[in-house]
Amino acid sequence: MNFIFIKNISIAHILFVLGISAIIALSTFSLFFQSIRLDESQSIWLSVKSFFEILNLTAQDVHVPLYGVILHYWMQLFGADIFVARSLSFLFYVATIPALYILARETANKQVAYVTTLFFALSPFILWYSFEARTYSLLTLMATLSHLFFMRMIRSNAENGKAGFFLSLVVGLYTHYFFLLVVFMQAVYVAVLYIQRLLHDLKETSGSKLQQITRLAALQTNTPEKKISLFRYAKHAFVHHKKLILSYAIAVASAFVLFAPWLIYVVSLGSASNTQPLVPAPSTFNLIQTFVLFMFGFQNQEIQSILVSLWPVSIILLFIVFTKRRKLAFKNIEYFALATFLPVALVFLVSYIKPVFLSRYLIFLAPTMFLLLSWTLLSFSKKIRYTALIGYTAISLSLLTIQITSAQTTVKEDYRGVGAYLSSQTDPSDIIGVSAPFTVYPIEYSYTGNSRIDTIPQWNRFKEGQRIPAFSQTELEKQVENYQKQYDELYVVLSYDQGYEDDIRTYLDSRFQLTSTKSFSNGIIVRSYKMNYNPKISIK
Amino acid sequence: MKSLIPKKIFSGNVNKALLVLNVIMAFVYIGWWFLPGHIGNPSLYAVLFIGEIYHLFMAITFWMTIWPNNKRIRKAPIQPETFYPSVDVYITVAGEPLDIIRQTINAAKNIDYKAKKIYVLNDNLVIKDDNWKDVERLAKELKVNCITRTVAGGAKAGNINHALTKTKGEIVVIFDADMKPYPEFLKRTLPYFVDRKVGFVQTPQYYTNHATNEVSQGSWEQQSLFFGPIMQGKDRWNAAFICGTNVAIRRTALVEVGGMCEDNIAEDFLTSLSIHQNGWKSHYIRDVLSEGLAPEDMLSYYKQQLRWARGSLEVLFGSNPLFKKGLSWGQKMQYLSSGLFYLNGIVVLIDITMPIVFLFFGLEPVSTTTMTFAIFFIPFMFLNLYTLYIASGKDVTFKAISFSQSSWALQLTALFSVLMNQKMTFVVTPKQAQEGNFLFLAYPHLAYIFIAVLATIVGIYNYGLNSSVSTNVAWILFNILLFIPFINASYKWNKLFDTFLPKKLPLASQDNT
Repeated sequence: MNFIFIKNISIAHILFVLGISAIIALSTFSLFFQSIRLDESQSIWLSVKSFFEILNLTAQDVHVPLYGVILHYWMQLFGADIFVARSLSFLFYVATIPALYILARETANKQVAYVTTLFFALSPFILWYSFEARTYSLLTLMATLSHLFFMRMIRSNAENGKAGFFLSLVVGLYTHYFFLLVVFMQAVYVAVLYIQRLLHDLKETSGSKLQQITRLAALQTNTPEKKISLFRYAKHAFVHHKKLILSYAIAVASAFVLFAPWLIYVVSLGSASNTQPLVPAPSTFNLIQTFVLFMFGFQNQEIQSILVSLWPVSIILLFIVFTKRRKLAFKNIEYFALATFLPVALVFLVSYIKPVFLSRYLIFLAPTMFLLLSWTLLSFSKKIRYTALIGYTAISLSLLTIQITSAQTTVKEDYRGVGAYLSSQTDPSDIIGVSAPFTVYPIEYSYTGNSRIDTIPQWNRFKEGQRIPAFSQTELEKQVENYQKQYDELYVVLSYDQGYEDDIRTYLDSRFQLTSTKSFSNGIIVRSYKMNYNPKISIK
Repeated sequence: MKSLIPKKIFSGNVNKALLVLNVIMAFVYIGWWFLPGHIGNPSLYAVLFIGEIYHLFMAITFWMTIWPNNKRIRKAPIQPETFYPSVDVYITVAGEPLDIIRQTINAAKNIDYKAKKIYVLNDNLVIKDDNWKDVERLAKELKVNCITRTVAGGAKAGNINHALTKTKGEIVVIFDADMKPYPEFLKRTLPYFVDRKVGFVQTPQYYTNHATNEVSQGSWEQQSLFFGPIMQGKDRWNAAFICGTNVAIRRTALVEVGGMCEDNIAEDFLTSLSIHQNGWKSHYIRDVLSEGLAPEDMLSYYKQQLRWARGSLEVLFGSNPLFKKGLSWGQKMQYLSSGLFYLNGIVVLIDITMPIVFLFFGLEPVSTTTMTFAIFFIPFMFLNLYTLYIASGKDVTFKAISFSQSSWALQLTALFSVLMNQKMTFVVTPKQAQEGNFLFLAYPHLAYIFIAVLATIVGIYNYGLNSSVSTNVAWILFNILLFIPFINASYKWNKLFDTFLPKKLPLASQDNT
């Protein structure tokens, strides 16, 4: 952090340091006090298993294994605790900051680099996943590194950055399947460069330049000068970018060779385990919401819909981008625009065939989005620039505070609260029924009591390849009948409705006496029912 | 300071593929408007729909204007030695300061061409300016001709027509009194007249004082957009028009249409139309060949814009180019779009009023989720702005767009005066900054802000801060942000600080310097 010690400390520097300090303070608070969430509990559950079990279960879960494996060894070193697991994600987040700084500095300048990293570091969305025991902060780091090394390759005509690029590809591919989109965007950009060159050559269709090109193409392709055709032009354009295209192709091909064993393994396993929540098809709201989330994080439904509906203000940004402004260098802006916006559009369209549109999967777009945003804001005239920067920073910090402290934050899952409540209420004569079944992990993690925990519908997750069964009313009745024979009270934990929550509730309400009900953040409900009036076990 | 002057007005080449993409996206967007399921309040929807159709038409004619048409792009012809037409240089005077007229005369005398005669067209007598004799004396001192009108009529056009009867040059060159030509003016424009079908050659108006203040800057930035991609595009369609000054006109072409049109306040625009109707060709060259002064205060800017708006609307309603014989299809569209441009005021008013109507009365013109609309609107807008940016040679400014959009009030005034057939006199744009408080010119915008704030409060009170309310508030914010440079230019806001802050404060002392 050399910039802190420079002789002329400007307001921007002070703001930068203050911003970062505020983030650390707020984030530490977040790190210590947030409840474990569903996804995190799955990560921990998975990572305490053996190396090969991790590979097997991850493959069935339609994920890639790198994060699980790293977390496995990380927890072996430092302990199997949610704090330890989260600190790994935090490390990836911290590592992304200098990587993004270097990327922005090499792309634009120091000023843009400071602001980009500040925006990134301040982003409530980024921070949320920096303290979540999941793969997303690693994915962000790998995408940033990949952009960095890819740009170095582009700018040096593949003289620099090849090794870093190759490594970032391999690690990125093993981090998340969505990293494929980064690779795809880079391929598109290489194609764009090639087409640009081809069009440039074709445009020079008169005078000495044409002769020069035809002569050059003829020399390079050992063809008589007169026979130069469109194909030869295409070849000439290829020759121009030959080193870059070949280096890129070799790096990508090699990375895929290293990734292939995993794909083969996944295919050899056959069907997936179906342990994921249902992903709904996205709406146009989600499309814009993704970028709003990157900037302003997870807020309650009302704030989020208001933030998204403020989109007309963003048109002013377009006006700023496409009007004359202070000159601020930005190399390869087309790449960053492509890398930020095209994947969203692609995932959105694909989601109409198979819904995969989840904002967290798209987190790897955030670094380039912040780079574009900071460059745009810094292009403003001085007064507007400072107002916009201070305003944005203040809004981000405020929303970050709300995100951390508000119980209404949409992604908050108070399973710790549920666990504590159940621990205080239950004993071995009771049974806990969890629906949806995959939410058993965070409850199991947080629950310290002695009751048996079951899932509705019943799911034997310890049996290899066992998928979550479909809900059936008959099975539910059988399951509850069995409970009646053994237990006094049934505590039903309802969250992540998979379409049958109401059926469970209606059935139990109509058959049994509801003895208590308690709600937790974001729709998690615990309801208890009297199963038996003649206690069978007198342990209480 | 000639090194600061651009040799050419900026403009860029727009790819045909980009323009085609624009058209496709525009039709996708407008197609959305045709879906009946989106109709909210039918009356409001109809009004907004008409506005959108106007936007679409203006966008299409703009893309048509900048469409690369290689047929018209060629190098300037070389003037054969045998081609040496006589040239009358007219310097029109109507109340300008003497020192400015002197500079222009001297610059005209320095024009590198022997067969030229310089005439000062002195209208100071007919406009009852006391210094009309001083102008005559100045002309005598500088050894140029002076034609002083004694009978008023026809404003600047009348002055030129009067001079036409007194002079005989084959080519007539017109300069406003504040437009100093460069020596190469005739060397660069005359070669085009070798083609006997060429009626006139127009060159840009460059403002040397463009960096003086917010008004001159905004005014110049608007001008550079007009004299950049727009006039060059019109030239491709043989539809560049006379802009009152810095123009060389073939006498025959001008006399054939009865001289400069005196019936319209935008005499140059209508005269060009008539010349084109008679089958003459025109040329626009983007080389800066003279320099002048932009309005430096909001009142002068307002009067200039109002005159142009009024003139163009008069042409639209009185001499609609669509029904003029002798014009090509391309020329008709170009003239029509120039006239229609000044109807923008009414469309802007519609656009800025809709959010207020919703917030006050809960009436929605469009029934859809705001996000669905955004998906159609944002790509359309993105391509529009990107194309404008490229077409302007990446030189279009936010201020230029702001001034253009903020002119809705004066455009409405012009429209009203045309519809009511109110008389409007030709007033020369002042060459020096007028002193005074011109904030009143931004009153409509300030009133809008006041009403918008009120509407926001009412809207939130009535419906709560839901997504519909916030989208409408966002549109209001968007409009206000667009108006800010215009409002800022209309008043010296630092005077407020002078008033409210003690004079010894550094801020006040800085302003005073």
